[in-house]
This record gives sequence, structure tokens and C-alpha cells, in this order.
Amino acid sequence: MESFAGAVVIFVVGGVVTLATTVMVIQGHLHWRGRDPWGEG
Amino acid sequence: MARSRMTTRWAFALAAIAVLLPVARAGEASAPPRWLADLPLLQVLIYGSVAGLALSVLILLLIWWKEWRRGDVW
Amino acid sequence: MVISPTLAVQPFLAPGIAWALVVIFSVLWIALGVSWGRRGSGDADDYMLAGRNIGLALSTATLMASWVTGNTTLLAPEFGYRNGLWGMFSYALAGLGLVLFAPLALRIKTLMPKGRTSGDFIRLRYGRAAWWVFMVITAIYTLGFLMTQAMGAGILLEALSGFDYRLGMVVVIGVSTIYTLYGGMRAVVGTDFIQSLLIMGLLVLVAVLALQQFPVPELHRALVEEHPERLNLLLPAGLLIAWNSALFSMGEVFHNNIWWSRVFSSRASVVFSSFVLGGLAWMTVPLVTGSIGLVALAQSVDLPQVNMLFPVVASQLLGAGGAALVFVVVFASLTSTLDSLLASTADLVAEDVVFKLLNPNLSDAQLRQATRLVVLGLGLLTLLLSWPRLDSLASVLFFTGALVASTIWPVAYGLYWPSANRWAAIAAMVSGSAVGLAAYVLIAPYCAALLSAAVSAVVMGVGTQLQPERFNWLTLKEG
Repeated sequence: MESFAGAVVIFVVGGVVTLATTVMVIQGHLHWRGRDPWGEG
Repeated sequence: MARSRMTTRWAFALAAIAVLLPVARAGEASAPPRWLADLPLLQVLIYGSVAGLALSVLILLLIWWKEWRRGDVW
Repeated sequence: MVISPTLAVQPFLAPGIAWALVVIFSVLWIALGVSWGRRGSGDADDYMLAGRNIGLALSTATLMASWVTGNTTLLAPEFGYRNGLWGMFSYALAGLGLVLFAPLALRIKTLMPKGRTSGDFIRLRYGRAAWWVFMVITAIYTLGFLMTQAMGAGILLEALSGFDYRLGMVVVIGVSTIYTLYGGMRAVVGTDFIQSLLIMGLLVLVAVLALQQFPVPELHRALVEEHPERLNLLLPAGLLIAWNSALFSMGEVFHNNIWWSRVFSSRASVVFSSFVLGGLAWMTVPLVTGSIGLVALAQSVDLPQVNMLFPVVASQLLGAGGAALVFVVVFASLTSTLDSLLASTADLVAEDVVFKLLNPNLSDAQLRQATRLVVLGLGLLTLLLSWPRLDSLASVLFFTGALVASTIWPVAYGLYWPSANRWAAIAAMVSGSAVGLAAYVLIAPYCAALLSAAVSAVVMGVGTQLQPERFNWLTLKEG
């Protein structure tokens, strides 16, 4: 896994997972802005 | 969350991997590429981080001072 | 939370000066901690959560101080020295956990006005079964964190000043336990404020002096000629570890009661800003200390061992005073992380286990007393478990990344979407942990958090899609 190709794959997968998590959190935050926090959403 | 948003997100992830895997494999044929950070980038990084840390100290003290004056620290 | 296990050949600071500093700062932290602890109303809620109203300055500072461990100031320069820019970047990305927790913190504060712990959330949101899984994960992680900090304290003080390993450990654990015991969360937050200013201030001073002596253009020239790989942004080793810290830190921050207790302790209007500011400020620390590592490399500074880079450079720039300042900063970093660990873990054990699980009829005074006893018990347990010196412990405990990363999506999803399914949450934590641990053993440590988070995310998402719940958010409001 020390090859450049392997490193790129791990880098991309890690980036995708991090990005997906970031997007999910931001989506959730924006969804609840201005809404009743205990509502059905 | 709408099903369509979930599906879109995972499709994007899988597509990214599908595109990049062949690229990565092609890269194995030659020596690993290099991209050395140039001087301007190193300057931005180093001066920026030191300035950022110094600014953080000042901002923290300023916030504390304003809150102390309002009696709002605790 | 990583420690470097090697010994210094000779102490950097005369033991007499080191002892004087330890006594002065120990008395200071204990005196301040006890005095701040007296400010509160005296009930259990106040002891655990400092009145639930701390302002932006204290909130931000306590996050910074808690996340700057004893080894951030010593290991981050080593990362820069050994791995160059990617070492610094990957370490700095550990601040992402704090920044990304900001919106979650706001949601937590809104939904759970009477909440006390992360365990409260998991129990109310996903039920008792999920709570058990979560508690196993957090227990393993927290115990590991406590032990690495305690052992780190002994090893670092020995390396810096020649203190006996066990003596250094007893002093640091003892001081942290005493002021946390008597002062509760107020003591922790108040001392963290001073400790964070000490840490940040010294780092800026050393960095500015180092760069004055060795400006960046000269640094760049020297690295290009002698150590070009340190500047290589496509370094395979760097690409491999790049996102590990980010995902590991998200797992740590999203699940652990250290950060949830800060949310409940802070004023609602400051909770979002404090995590953003604290996270961004923290991210500069590995970059600054990593830069100092690069300067040391370019100057071919003579190092008895790499993890003593920061004390060596500080001594060269500031003389004997530099070594003393480094000692103070390391001591501050150790106590500021340990006090947070002790207080928030005691809150979790007292609230979730002693109170909600075993004795639901406990009075407020009894809960407060139970919390104090748990603080004392945790301090003693940490001392006991850390008594035999295990230099390889830190590397073994990297596996906790596989466990904590599995909680990222269950926690965040559960806060935002009423459809988040409890059985999916359990399956996500279990499968993520299993895959992460397998990856740790069979592939490499840097894959563990990454694969754990990925598997957990897929299981959480798919499970919720297949069987969405209709969770009533008011359940969380009741507390």
C-alpha cells in the first residue's frame, strides 16, 4: 500500500467519507434553521 | 432526508472511486509524481499559521475582556 | 492523544527548577480551582456543568486546552520534522472534529436543555441496547485516553527534567484530580482558560523567534536542497495518513462526553461559535509546531531524540528560560487534558450508570457526592493502570480510532433526522467497529478510522432507508 496508486485510492476514499460526513452535517444544520426544533422536520 | 439525496450522495462517491481507480492504476507504471511546495505556498502556510495562532490569543483575550466588563464570563 | 515513548538522555531542565515550577503551578491550579468551584450554587448540575452558562471566552479556551494534549507540543514538531508538510496537514486536520461538531453542538443544546451527557442522548434517542454498545466503545476509548495521558505525563516529565516516571505521573494525576474533585467543572474550565493562553502564547513566541533566526526563504531553499520530500505534496506516505486524523477526531469529538459536557456547560448563544473558534485556533497549533520542526531539520539541529525537538529549539532561542517555559507548557497541556477527562468521565459514569441505571431515586446531593467519588475513583484507577510503564501502549491504542469512528454517523444522523433507526445505529456501531478493527490488523492502522466510518455510514443510511422510525424529539427535551 506504499505505492503512489494505492496512496491515491486511500486518499480519495478518505476524502469522500470526510466530505460525505461534512455534507450530511451541513444539510442537517440548514434543514433545521428557522424550524421548530421539536417539530417533525 | 429524501431518498433522492441519499442516492445522489452514494452515487457520487462510487463514481469518484470508479473514475480514480483506473487513473491510480495507470500511475503505477511510472515513478511516483512529485509536487514540491513552492516558496509562496510555504510562506502562506507558515506565516498564516503563526499569525492565526497569535490572532487567536488576541481574540480570546478580547472576548474575555468584553465579557468581563459585562459580567458575563461565567 | 498519542505519546512518544522514548527517554531523554539528559534532562533539559535542572530538577530543582522543575520541582519549583511544579509546586508553584500545582498550588496555583488547586487554589484557583477550589476558589472557582465555590462560586456555584452547590447542586449536582452546577458541579457537573458549571451552571450551564459559561461565556464564549471560557468555552473556546476549554476546548482548545482540552484538545491540546501533552504531546501536541512535542509530537507535532516531530511530525513536521519527519514527514514535512503532509505530517503537519494531517495532524492539523484533527481540528476538523471540533469545527464540524459546532452545528451538532447547537442542535444538542436546543434539543436537550436538561441533558447532562452523551449517554443521555444515546439512551433517549436509540434505547438501552444502543446505550450499552455506545458505553462499551466510550469506556475503551476513555480509559485508553486516560492511560496514555497519565503515562505521557510520567514519560514527558522524566524526559524534560529527570523526574522519576512514577513520580511525574503521581504529581500530574494528583494535581488534576484534586482541583477537579473540589472545584468540579468550574475548576476545569477556569484553569483551562489560563492554560490555553500559556500554551498558545509560548508557541507564538518560539515560532516568531525561530523564523526571525531562520526566515522562510532560507528554510525553503535548505529543504529543497537537502530534504525535498518534506515539501512533496504528493508524498505517498502523506496521502495515506491524510484523512485519518480528521475521521479519528470526528469520532472522538462526536461521541465523547468531554465535548458533550462542554456543550451542556456553555451558554446557548456561544456554543456554535466556541467550537468553530476553538477548532480553527487549534488547527494552527500543529502547523506552527510543525514549522518549528522544519526549521530544526533545515538547520540540522543536533537532537538526542526527535520528540525533544521543541524543548531543544526553545532552549537554543530563549536559553534556560526556554526550557522552563516548555516545561510549564507541557505541564499545562497535561493537566488541562486530564482535568477534562476526569470531570466529564465522572459526569458520564455518575449520571448514566450510578443514577439512571442503578439508582433512579438518587437525590441531588447524593448525585453530587457520587460524581465526586467517581472523580477520585477515576484518578486512582488511572494511576493504578498506568503504574507499569508500557511504552508501546499509545501505538496499540490507535485501534480506538476504529471504535470511535463508527459512532460518527449514528450520532449526527440521530440528531438531525427523526427517521434514524435505532437498530441501524446499533448495527452501524458494531459493524463499523468490526471492520475498522479488522482493517487495523489486516491492512494498516491508517485505514481503521476511515473504513469504520465508511461502513458505519452505509449501514446507518441503508438501515434507516429500509425501516425509518418516527422519533418524537420531545423525548429528548424531558431529559
